[in-house]
Amino acid sequence: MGEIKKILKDDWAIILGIVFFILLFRILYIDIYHSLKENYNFDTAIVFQSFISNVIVLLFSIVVDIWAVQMLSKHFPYGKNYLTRFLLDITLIFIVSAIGALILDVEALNVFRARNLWWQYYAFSLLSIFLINAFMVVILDIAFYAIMVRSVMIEERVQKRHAEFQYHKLKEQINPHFLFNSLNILNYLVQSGEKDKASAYIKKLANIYRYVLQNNDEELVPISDELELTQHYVDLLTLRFSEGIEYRVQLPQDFQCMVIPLSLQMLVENAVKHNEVNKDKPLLIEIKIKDNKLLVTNNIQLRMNVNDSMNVGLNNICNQYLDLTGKTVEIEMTDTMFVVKLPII
Amino acid sequence: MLNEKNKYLGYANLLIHSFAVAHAAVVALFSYFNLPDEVPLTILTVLMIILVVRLYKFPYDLSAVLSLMFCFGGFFLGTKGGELMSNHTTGFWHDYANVIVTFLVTEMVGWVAYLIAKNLHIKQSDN
Repeated sequence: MGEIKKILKDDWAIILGIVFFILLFRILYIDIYHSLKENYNFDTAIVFQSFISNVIVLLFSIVVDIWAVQMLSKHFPYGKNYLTRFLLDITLIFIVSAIGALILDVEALNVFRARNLWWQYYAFSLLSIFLINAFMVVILDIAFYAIMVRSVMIEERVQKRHAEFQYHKLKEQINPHFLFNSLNILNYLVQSGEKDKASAYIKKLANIYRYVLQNNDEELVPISDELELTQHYVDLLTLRFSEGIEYRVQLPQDFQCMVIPLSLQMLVENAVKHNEVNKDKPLLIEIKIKDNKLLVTNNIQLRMNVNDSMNVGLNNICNQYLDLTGKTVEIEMTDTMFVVKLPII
Repeated sequence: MLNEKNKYLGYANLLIHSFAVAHAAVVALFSYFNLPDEVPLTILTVLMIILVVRLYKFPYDLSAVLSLMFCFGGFFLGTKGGELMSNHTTGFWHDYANVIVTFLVTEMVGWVAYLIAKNLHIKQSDN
C-alpha cells in the first residue's frame, strides 16, 4: 500500500484536477450527445460510416492528428507542462473534429438545414467524430511516447557502455602488471649496460602513455595513429618475450580508416594474455583487410590459466562499435585461429 | 523474485481487483435505488487508471488522455455489453448482466492500462 499512498499523498491535487475535468467533460459530452441522439433521432453509425467512407475527411483527420501530435511532443515534452499539453490535446481534437464534421456529408447538412436542424446535426457529427479523433490521438500519443522511451533507453545504454569502456581504458592506463613488467625489463637493460636499448624502451613506454592520455576523450582515431601505438606496444612485448611474438601488418600503403582508440592494442594484448608465447611456439598476430573488414587474427595456443574476465576488453570494443557505428564486430574462433573482424569506419 | 518491470504487479493486482469490485458494487447499488451511476463510475475509472499507470511514473498528460479514452471506451463497452448479455441470458446472468459486464470491463481496462504503463516505463525517469 506504500506506493499507492505515496502517489495519493504527493499528487492528490493533480489527480483531483484530472478526475474533475474528465467528469465534467464526460457528463457534458454524454448529456449533449444523448439528448441530440434521442431528440432528433440521429444515428451514430451513419456518421461513423460517412467518416470512414469519406477519403478527404479521413485523410485530413489522420494527417492533421499525426502532424499535431508530433508538433506537441516536440514543443511540449511528455510529463512536463502536462496541464497545457492535455488542454492542447483536447483543443486539437475539437478543432480537427469541427473541420471534419463541416466537410463531412455536406448533402446531409443541407437536408437538415432545410429542416432547421443544421446546428443540431453539425453538433452531433462533431461529437461523433470527436470520439474517433480522440482515439487516434491517444494511440498516436502513446506511439510517440513509446518512441521517446525507446530513444531514451538506447541513449542510456550507450552512455553506460561508454562509461564502462572509459573505465576499462582508465584501468588499462595504470595496468600494474604491464607497468611492473616494463620496469623489470627496463631494470634488466640498465643493469646489463644496454643504454641505447633502455633509452628506446623508455621512449616507447612514454609514447604509449602519451597516446593514452591524448586520446582519452576521442571516440575515434586514425588507424595510422593506432598502428603506431600498437607497434610501440609490440616492441615492448618483443623485448620481454624475445622471439616469441610475430607481428604483421598487411594493409595497403595508402589505407585510411578510423578505429576506436586502443582497440587494436587491446586485441593484441588479449592475444598475448590468452595464449602461450615462447620461441618454440611463436604467437603470430596479424592485422589485415578482408571483405571490407579490418581483421585482427592470432593463432590459438591457449594458456592453461585463462581468466574469463579478460573478455571484458573485447566486449567493450564490440559494444563501442555497435553504439558508434551501428555495426557489429564479428568474432570467429576455430581450433587453430582466433579472428576479430572490425567494421571499417 | 520479480524483475524491475514486474515489481508493481502486486499493487496493480490489488488496485485493479479492488476497483473492479467497487465498480460492480456501485452498479448494483445504484440500480437497486434506481439512481444514475455515471458520476461514481467515472470517478472510480479515472482514479484506477491514474493510480495504476502512476505506479510506473507514466506522465500525467498521457495518464489524463488515457483515462479520458478509457472512460468513454468503458462506458460504451459496459452499456453495449450489458445490453447484449441481458438480451441473451436468463435468470441470474440476466439480472446481474450490468454488474458482471462492469466488473469484466473494469478488469480489462485496468490491465490494458497496466500493460501500457509497464511496457513504456523508463527506469530512471522521475517525471
